Amino acid sequence: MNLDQTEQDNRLLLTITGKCTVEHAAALRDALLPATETTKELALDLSGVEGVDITFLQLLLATEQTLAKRGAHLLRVGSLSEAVSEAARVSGFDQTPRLKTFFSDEERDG
Amino acid sequence: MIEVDAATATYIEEAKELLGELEQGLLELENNPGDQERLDACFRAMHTIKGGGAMFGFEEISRFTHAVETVLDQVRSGHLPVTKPLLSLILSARDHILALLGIPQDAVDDDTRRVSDALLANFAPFLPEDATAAPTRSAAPSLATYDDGDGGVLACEARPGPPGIYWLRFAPDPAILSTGNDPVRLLAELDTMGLTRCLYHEDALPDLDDPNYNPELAYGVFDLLVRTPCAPNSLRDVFIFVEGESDIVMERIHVGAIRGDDLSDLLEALQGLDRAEPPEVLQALHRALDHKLGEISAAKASTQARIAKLAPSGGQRAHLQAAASLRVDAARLDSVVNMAGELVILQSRLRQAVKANDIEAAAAVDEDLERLTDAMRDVALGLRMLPIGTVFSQFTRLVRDLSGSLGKEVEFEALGGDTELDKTVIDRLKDPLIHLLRNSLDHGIESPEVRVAAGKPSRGRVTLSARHSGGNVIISIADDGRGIDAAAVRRKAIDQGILSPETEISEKELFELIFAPGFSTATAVSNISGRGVGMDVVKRNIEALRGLVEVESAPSKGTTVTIRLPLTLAIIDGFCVVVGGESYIVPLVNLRGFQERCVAGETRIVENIERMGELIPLVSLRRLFGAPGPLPPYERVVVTEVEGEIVGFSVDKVVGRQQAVIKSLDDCYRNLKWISGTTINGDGSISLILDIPQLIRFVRETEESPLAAREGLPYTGPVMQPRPRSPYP
Repeated sequence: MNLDQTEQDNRLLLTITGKCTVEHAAALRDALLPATETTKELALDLSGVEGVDITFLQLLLATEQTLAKRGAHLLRVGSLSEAVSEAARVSGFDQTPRLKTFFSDEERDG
Repeated sequence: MIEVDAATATYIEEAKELLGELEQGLLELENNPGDQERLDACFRAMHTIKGGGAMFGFEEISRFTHAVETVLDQVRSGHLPVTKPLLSLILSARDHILALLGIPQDAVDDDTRRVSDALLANFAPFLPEDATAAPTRSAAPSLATYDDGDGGVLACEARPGPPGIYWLRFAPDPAILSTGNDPVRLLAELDTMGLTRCLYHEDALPDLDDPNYNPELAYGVFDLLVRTPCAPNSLRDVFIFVEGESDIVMERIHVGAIRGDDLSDLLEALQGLDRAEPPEVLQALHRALDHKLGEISAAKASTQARIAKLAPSGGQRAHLQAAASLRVDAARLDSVVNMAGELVILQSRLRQAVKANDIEAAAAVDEDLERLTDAMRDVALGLRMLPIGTVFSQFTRLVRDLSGSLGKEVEFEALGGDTELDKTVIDRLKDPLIHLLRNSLDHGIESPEVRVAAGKPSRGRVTLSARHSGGNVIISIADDGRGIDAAAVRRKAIDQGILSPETEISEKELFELIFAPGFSTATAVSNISGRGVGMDVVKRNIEALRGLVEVESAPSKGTTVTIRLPLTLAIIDGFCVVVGGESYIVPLVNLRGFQERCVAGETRIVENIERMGELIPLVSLRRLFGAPGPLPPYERVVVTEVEGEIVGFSVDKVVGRQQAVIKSLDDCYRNLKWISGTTINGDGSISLILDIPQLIRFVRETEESPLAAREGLPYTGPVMQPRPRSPYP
């Protein structure tokens, strides 16, 4: 897993690439947690994610839950990699109220 | 016919149209293999059929078409040459897709799949290696085909019968990942077993900043609904390695097909029930399911009620089914709408005229209305008009396949494909035309050797043409084959007692004998052997469309069969005449003029009358119909022409021109051949529409026919020619 952070105005963009499975879950949480506390907007680019398991989907959902407490939301930039969209589809994560918008196919900027 | 919703019906209709285009394209490719544009069009057609198939749940079509599309793509990109065997293969695939379109989405059985598989096996040599695996059922499924998957690509063995709907609850052990199992992978595997919808209960998931949150544990519960034709064990087997620690509950809740969207709706009912015990969940699920099934059957019932309301009753229905839906040129629809607008204006003008008691203004409206009604009738009937070319293209294929199997070389030409005919007529014309074409190929066109020996080009030629002529459409099928041996037909007719040896009849009449049902030509007339079979059916079909069939033939030059059809079956132009208080309609197409004659004394059914210096037979309709009432001092004579023969009919009165909207007679009057229908007059009374050709035939067969009359009478004028006994009563 590789993480790349870019900050612009009030927005933090995290570009995640590579395999995001249980081995990387703790590291990913450590990267996401500060972002939920400070930035106003947190955007994720998952187009380069190659393999995921349940831990990754749970992290996305937990991040959104935490942001929502502050009235912020998780944003998506770029398309979803097939690995992510398939995992979200078969597990029903793409239909959860909190992540439905994040996973939906609408045109996105960036 | 399958009961389908409107969207599916549109897909089927469109797919059939595309298949027609595909067939035509393939046949043209055979003559011109380098036509890239044509090739692209064929590929696009296949691609559209495949995409629509997946969208509307025709999984088998989508699966099957995939391979064909791949092959076409190979051809298109130049990796495969266009060859006759390949085209034949794609043509047979096209036929199979057409057959699949006739099977409801969820009724595809194993036999059908086997047929698909057998055809797909033929495609295998043409497919690139990596593509061969995709379309077969047992192979690794491709993601795209899951979408509404049932009977498509499944990772388990499907059982016959309707699919089962299963509820599965999967509560993974929090430490499941430490054993190397990932819930997402298990769910993905389950997804290959059928149509799956999943609901994740997220309540148990802590927030990211919760100190108790361990990102390496699995939280939450999954509720799943799976529609699968497979055995429940294949679903259970997915969880075989985690069953000890994780909780898995599985129940079948329903048998029968339910759409994916409906499954999603059902899952919604389980929202918030993640901590509930299975019985409670099942109860909620069954409540939702009953509600859903109620909705589905109510929707079905209302659709059926709508269909039933629209559908005509009884015997008409079978006829009309073929023409259930129709594509209409937008410009034509626009003109109907425009005319409806004009109609509204006329109506308000009429109201004004009536209010003002202004008869002149009303008369002007009447005139305008007549013009508009005429125009509107033409346009409205035009809505049902289709170019006959839609059928012609199918014949190209027929000729290709048939000439191949007969070992003959045939060049087929279809002319006048843009000639328009009523859709009903086109639908019902197809079979007779197929029969006539078969005859031309089978018995008309000689084998290449025979042709060369006779000094003809080795390639035979069959021309199918259509054109307008007056109120008729004339369709002819001409071949340059060996022609019909008139002498042999005559011999055979005499042998069979249809014709007496001393009777002299014209060649035209002789050829008409071919259409007699009893006229077996199997042994006597080699070149038309088999032609007798079904020729009577051809004639009957054409006559049912109020058409005529004629045969012309010259030995070794070829045979031409000409079919003359009315443009439409719905309305005819005619003249209203009265006989003994009853009114009848004489179709304008047969009408040649009117005369009068004084009546003195008894009249016979058939007499003669002078017309333009010639004697023509005159039939007294009063005598023929046995009409009551006193004879008028002078009668009107309606002069008609049928097949070049002029016959007069005497009537009491000629009322005038009338457009007759044909109402067909009930089936029990079917044997009354000389009435083609009835129409309702302006005053609400009923007129019978006379079928003049049949009426003339009917007169010939009555006892007092000229055959009998001639013996007792000295006159030598032209009586109605005696003809061989007609097969039609």
